Amino acid sequence: MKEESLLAFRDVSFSYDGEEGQRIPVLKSVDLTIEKGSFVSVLGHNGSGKSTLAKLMNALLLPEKGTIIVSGFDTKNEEMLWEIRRHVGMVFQNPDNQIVGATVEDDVAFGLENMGVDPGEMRKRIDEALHSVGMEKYLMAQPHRLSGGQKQRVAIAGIMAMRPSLIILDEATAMLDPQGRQEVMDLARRLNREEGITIINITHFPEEAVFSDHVTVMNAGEVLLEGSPHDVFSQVERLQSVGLDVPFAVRVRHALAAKGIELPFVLHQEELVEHVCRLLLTK
Amino acid sequence: MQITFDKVSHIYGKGTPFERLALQEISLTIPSGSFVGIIGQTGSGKSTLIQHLNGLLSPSSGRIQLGDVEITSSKRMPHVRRRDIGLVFQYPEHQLFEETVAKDVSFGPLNFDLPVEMVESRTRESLEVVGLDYEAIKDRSPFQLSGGQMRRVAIAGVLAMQPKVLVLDEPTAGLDPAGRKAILEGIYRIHREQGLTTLLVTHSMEEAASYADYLLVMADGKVALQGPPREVFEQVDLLKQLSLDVPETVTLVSRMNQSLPDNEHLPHSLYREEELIDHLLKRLSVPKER
Repeated sequence: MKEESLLAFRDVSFSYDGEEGQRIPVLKSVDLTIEKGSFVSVLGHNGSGKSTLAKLMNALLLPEKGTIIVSGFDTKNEEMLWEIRRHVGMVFQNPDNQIVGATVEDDVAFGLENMGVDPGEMRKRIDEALHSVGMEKYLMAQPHRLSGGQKQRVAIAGIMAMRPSLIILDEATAMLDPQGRQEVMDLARRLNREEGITIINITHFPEEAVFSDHVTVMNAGEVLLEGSPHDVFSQVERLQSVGLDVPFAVRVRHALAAKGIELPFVLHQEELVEHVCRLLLTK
Repeated sequence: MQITFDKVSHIYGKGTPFERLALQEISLTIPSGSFVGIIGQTGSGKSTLIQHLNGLLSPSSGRIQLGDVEITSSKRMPHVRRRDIGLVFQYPEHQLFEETVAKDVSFGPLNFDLPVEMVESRTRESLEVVGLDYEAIKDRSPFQLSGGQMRRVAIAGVLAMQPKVLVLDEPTAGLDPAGRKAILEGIYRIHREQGLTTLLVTHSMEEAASYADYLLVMADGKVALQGPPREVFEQVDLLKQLSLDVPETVTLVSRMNQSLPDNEHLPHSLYREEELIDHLLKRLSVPKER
């Protein structure tokens, strides 16, 4: 294994028990490498296996076949389980299902208490973690009074306090309003850039993936496409054929190209505006 | 069914320390047969507003007119009229409870004492309307279905009441793009075929732009803006001030207009993606002057 790879799947398969006791495969021989410090998006529709992928990453599930290595440890190694979970924090979809504390402070302290961190150190880490998610003013707030986006930020603070190497957002924005979604995505990008935390964002919003270093597209338990956002989103038809959407700018460019108006490839709306305006003005 | 709100206010926890004015003198008229998008941030009063429509909440003051029924703080909605208003809550799949899909969908109509044969045909019809195969799904447990299927079953349960007004509170939250589209297309079809009056609460301006013919923008318990989508989307600055998302089509048009000379401007009415693309194609493929 290369030094820089933080997480690696080697030929990983997994299946669930079906309604009549039969095995239903959800992941089929998946190979995957996540580089340290990168921002990775995993796209796929419901049932594509992307959430199973997440649960395998911090040993909530173990592979049926193949190996998963996190920070040099095999997830099947039970002795390293706590170490792996400390390294890999997970934020789930429903903000109301993952807050345990009566106050924001208690909630962030929960993981640290379980680890037996001493009180002085705990204080320091809670303050740092809340500061890094911009929720320091809400130390004594009751979590149920916060907005969805704020709750998810508190959940992320709980993870940050554990000093993780990797945070997995498992559709963490799916239940949020546009503002909450923006808050969580901005935070994830900042933690990646400024604190060097590796981020894996599992989502079905293609717009969230355009800023990643790497995009992996899952379909029917397999990796359908992977590469830079440019590589992946230039395959519009392939994505649409499996029911996935592409970012707005990509979609418009593609529709124009289909009628013979060729523009350079774009990911962002600003680029599209520039190209279309230039074309309009030079006509 | 025409819906009219006349200076409707709603106060939660009146007389307690938690008293909160959730709706402030709302006045509006929704003509029968319209498809209304209700937009606003979390806490803007959207859910409070729609809960007034089927008698779950009564106005603290003001008057609501639903067809020929009048509701005020002292005049409640008659029980039999409640079935005229189908309310689909957020995450309606959490309310599934029966052993089989067919039993779950028929629960409401049976509760209103409709004859059994009629209930069965309505159940079949409603499941088919939301795109589920009645024979294949009727005897399955709703809890063994996928999230998207469960939600469709829950919506079918409301449709089986054959409401005249359909109110949906974020029916697509948490679904993937294919699931979102399937549900909305289904709703839009029923809306047209059955001549319903439909109210769609959504966070997604894209959804509102694609289906609604009228928009209500809520902020701080008041209607901040209302009108046909093209008029509402012209107020880009106000919408942004309210921290609301503007459809990408609208930001594209306003950004392009900033870089284009006045005589080349794109009309603001191009808020639907297909129309915007058609317009661009026309402009880009036909030579401007000859």
